[in-house]
Amino acid sequence: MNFLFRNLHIAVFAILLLATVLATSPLFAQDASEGANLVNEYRCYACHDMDKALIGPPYQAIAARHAGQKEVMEKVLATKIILGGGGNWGMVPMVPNEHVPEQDALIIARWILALTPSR
Amino acid sequence: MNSTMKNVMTPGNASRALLLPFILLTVMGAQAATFTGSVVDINGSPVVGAMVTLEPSWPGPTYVTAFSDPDGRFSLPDQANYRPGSEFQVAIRALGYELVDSSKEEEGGSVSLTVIARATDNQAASAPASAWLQDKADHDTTSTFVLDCVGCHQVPSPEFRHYAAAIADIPGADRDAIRHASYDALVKYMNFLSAEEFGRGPEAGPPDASRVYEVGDGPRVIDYLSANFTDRMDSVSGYDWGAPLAVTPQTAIMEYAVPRPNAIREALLLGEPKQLWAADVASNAIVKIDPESGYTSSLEVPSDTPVGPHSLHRGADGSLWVAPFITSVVGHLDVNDETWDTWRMQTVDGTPTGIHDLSFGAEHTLLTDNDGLVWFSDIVNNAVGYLDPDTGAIDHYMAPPVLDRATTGTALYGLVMTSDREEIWFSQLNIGSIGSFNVVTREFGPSFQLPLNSGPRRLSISDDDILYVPLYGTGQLVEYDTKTHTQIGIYDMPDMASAPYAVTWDPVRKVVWIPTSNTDVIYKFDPADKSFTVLPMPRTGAFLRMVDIDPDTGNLVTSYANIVGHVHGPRMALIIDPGDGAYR
Repeated sequence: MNFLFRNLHIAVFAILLLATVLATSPLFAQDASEGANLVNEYRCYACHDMDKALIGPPYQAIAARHAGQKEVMEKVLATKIILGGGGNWGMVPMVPNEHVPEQDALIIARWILALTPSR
Repeated sequence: MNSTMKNVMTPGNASRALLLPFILLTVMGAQAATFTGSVVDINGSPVVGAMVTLEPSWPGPTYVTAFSDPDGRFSLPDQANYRPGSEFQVAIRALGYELVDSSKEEEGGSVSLTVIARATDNQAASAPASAWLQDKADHDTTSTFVLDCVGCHQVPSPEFRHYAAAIADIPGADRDAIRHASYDALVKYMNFLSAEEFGRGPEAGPPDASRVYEVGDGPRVIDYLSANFTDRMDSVSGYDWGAPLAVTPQTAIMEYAVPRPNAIREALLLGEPKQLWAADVASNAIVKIDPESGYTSSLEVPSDTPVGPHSLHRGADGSLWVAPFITSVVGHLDVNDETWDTWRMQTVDGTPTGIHDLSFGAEHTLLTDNDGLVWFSDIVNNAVGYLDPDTGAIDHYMAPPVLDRATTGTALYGLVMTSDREEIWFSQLNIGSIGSFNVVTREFGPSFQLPLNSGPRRLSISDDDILYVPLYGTGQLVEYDTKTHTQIGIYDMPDMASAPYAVTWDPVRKVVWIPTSNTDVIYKFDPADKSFTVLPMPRTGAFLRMVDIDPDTGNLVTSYANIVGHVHGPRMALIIDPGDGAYR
């Protein structure tokens, strides 16, 4: 393995790392579309829909229930996304999603809480 | 044909989180190090058969593992990249032990480790998923459950065990109702993910939840879960692999982590110098890993539709044959100049084929018939067929009905060819049947049936034309003489919940290697005395699929084939030196 090739890989790795850091910075976290993308990436749609109950409650119903306590619920909801559990919406606990980084869970939680309930 | 090559990434050792609890140590010396040492318990007694895993510094294999001998001594295989000044992680896996501490003595380039492990009654951190299925008294329903669920992931996985704990934490008096409703939700969720994984295609989006939540197997899985997983699963005890270890002080396991989102399905050693070629079922790519440096790159199978490379076969000339997971594109790669030939396969009436295997011979290479035709199993159409690689001609032969069993959804699966190149044998995964087809007369021949929930998968054939069949559901191995059409025996695997996925005849050692999907081990079966021994892997979640044997070194090549996006276990290609010197 020659020296140049080895260093090329280090450079590529550094660029990837930089891209990762940028993508997870607070600047990007503000972007609501990021939340929608993460909901797809982590396949939340297997159990949740925007306005109808599947296995779990609709996103809009979650937003409506916690409309008055968004700041508190941001962290709580992110924690629940990762650890699962509950009984908050019936007797069925949510599955744990321990592979979801806290940063991403917070973005998803913010996105849910910002939704406007439909009438 | 053109080929495209892109350098995709990265040092191999990028997934530290996947390792068991570890100790970090720094090697100070001025030259490349060698690692030896011993594993002892808290009383100073040797711990025998412990796997000691080291994460070398990049570049190189992501992890290397050796086993402790009867005196607790171990010696890690030499790697050029044990560089001075580097930090290393050391971890162990030994059933019923946990890592406590380690000390290090360093002299010149020699590093001597003393690894201290503590015996624990609770094996939850070291036991495989199948350990939790040992006390299930009803083997028949457990076999059906394994076939239903372990086809895609280990059960019970850590995620599932955490869900069982979440169910236990839900307040309420009617525990049966809570449990049933919760497992009903879990099965719907799994059905959704399954529909998405198996529905991948050119225009596929997320499935319609209302259509995929309920499937036929659902109620029996919910009943099984509700009846058998009634409490949290934080502990398990008394588990062993069920067979003596098939390891020596020279046994070495080299693991190569493949950066996400790649999903390694199978792997082979090919080319000069030998490279690891791995099928990435999540894309159109074959991932190439240099065993010495661990560098990975990938080659696209040329196709305008998704392929999902799945089954790999070594051609007799050292080339690589690729069978697909998604569409009916078969690829053939010259690994030296990296050029492709591809064929888009359709039945006569235009139905896409669902090729699963090309026919293996006793050397575990692709064996063509005497006219040079490549025979394949068609999992979608319950058929066998051939491809003429010279003309591109193909044809199909639909398998006949078997007893009163289903004729659709049979999953015609594994495929081998006899040494005279005149007969192929196939398994039908979903109807527990094994059949044959004469490629000269083009007629189906003898067959034999096993229980419906037996789950026969990838086949192998010996140089004496003895057929070996792994039964994924019932956890057994069938030995069948294709010349006399007699069953020699059916043997219980040492762990009957291990989900044996494949078998590979080893033409030099005269044994059968059996990778398991639910037990993190490769069992070795010796036909001479019908005995089993075991070669364990150093980490949990090791969802093993195919094993190949490098014809030059006798090293085993396999993979942790966890499905991308859905299962969060390790994704690695492995080279294993059994350490028996058999091929020297």
